[in-house]
Amino acid sequence: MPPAGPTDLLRITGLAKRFRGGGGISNVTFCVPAGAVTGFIGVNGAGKSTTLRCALGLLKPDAGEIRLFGRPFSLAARRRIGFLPEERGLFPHERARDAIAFHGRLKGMGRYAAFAAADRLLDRAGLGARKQDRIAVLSKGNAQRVQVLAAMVHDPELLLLDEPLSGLDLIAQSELLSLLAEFRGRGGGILFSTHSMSAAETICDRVVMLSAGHTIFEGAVPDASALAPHGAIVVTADAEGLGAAGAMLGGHIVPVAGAMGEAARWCVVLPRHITHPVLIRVLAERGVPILAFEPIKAGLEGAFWHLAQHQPLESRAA
Amino acid sequence: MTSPTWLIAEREFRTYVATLSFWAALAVGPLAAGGGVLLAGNAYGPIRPVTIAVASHDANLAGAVRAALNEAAVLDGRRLAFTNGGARVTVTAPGPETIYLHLEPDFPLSAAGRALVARTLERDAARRASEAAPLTVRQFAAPEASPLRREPGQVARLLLMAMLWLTLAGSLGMLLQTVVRERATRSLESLLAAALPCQIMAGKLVGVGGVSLLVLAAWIGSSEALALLVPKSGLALSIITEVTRPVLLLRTAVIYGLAYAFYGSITVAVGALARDSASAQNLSRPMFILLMAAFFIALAQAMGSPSASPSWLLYVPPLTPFLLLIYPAGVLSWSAQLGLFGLMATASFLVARFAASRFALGEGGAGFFGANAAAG
Repeated sequence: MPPAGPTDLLRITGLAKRFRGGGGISNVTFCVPAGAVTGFIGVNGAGKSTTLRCALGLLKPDAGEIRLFGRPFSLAARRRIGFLPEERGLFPHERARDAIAFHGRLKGMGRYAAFAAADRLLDRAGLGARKQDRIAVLSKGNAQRVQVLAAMVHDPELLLLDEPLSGLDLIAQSELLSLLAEFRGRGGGILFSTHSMSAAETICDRVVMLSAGHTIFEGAVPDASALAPHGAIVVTADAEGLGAAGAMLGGHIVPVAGAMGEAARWCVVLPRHITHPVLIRVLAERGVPILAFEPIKAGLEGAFWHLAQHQPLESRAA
Repeated sequence: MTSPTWLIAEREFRTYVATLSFWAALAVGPLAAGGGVLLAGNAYGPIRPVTIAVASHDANLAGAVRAALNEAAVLDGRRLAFTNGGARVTVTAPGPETIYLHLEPDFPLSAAGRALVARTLERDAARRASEAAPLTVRQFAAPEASPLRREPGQVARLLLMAMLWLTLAGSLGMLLQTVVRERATRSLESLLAAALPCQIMAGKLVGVGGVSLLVLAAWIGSSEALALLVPKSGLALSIITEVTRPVLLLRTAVIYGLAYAFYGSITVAVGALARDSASAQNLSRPMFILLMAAFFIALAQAMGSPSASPSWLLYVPPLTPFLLLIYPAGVLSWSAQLGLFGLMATASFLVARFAASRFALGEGGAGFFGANAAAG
């Protein structure tokens, strides 16, 4: 983790929270600086929502430290945060404008200011004509946009967004991303939780990767992408032949989860100058039966896969 | 800046009040209550006078007693009809200074009415013969079987108790819905990120309580207004007499408030423990059974049945408000009543604390979100 900076809006160190039914997080450490979008990446169940809930004081962590705006967690500091929860929903009987203003007032805004901000945001998001509509009659995408606006209405310094793009069509996603870009441009910090690597690559300046309750990477997006290995996932029953072919090309094989009958899944890591057709040709020449062949994707997805595979076994078990 | 509690309360209040169906339902209540008062007025008022038989060897004396009884009946909101049957009063005059009135058991006149009969006879005698010796009237009547049954305001107290039950049954259902709705609409987490669990809980209690208060005010107000239109209705007058005494009104309001706080906190706890609307309905069933049991125990107490509950039940918090309403203020000392209020307040606070802890995500383990919180 980079050293604590003066512009860190959120800093989490060694956070742990276990649940009675299993699961949770074991060792999460990262920071969210101002003026940047930090992607919070992990598969479903990795512990992203649990981390966000701990950061907001909705869950009491078992261990670790949370500092908001350079100080220990406090309710006053929480008012400076905008939060879009994973459990999304608004009061269906409320009008869009009222719903946004209500959240602003809950965060300490005056009545007039809250309604003025709600009107401004609705106009900005292209929902000005729907401001008097009840949430129940809005489409799912529009209702979600209203909730994002409700998280931003009090002009927070830090936005914690849990899967903000899920359920939105491409146009709505694009509008939301431009809203977030504006927010970042004003110096706000965003923690953007998602399991979509492509979304993270589109908007994020830096990423925090979470796997099985552990932080496995924190840094700039290009640095993360550079960690993606070159190679392919191969499903075969002949592990010996596959290993020999990989070694002949200067690479090696790593077992990965997901067997298909007697065949197992393997990751063949290759030097960057060896292309996938070369690997296929060598396997064919050696008579290695191939049930499935999938090139490892470059970028964040490949990096995440690689890092998640190489974290300590005890972490993976958690 | 407005407190989150009031913002949430305002929203809950608006949710129910800002609908046509609410006002339509609100209008039905007063109409039904008004109809009830009219029916009661007809049942107990001028159309069905109480029949009284005055037995005396002295026709003048009997006439004087009839006149005195008629005056006293007005005080009780009754109309009398004098016949040879019905409740019997035997009048004798052993001497010029004394009249004996023998009232048979269950004679339909309150203690105040009986006192007025005596004063009226004394006054009339003094008028008739100012030179005569002062007259003394002595009454003989069997002791009343149950002080609760003979109080003229007992019917009103029964109605207030029934109204408390109706109010609670209605408002607790609404409250349960508002708590479960936050989960159903998936909006609880947003609220929790901006307000404390106790603020959300208090906001819901106050908001739904405000709706109930509005309904109650409409019911009582319209019933009283209609009751005033029914002249000399015994039941209507009893209700008005009972509920318009400031001290009794205050006492009733305190009991209603504490009962709502107690049962409301239980409801919030039930809603917070439930995973969905179906489990909330299942979990709330014992509470509604308890509510119904409390009503019938209080009813049995009021009727003075052989199986009437002993007074220790007053100290069982779920029963306390119902039994307190049944007992007239004078039966229990003020210190005892204040003690019971304190007991209810303490019980409500403890339940509310538990309910708030169930609302919170952070109190141990998975908290309010249950197993769902475990996965990110």
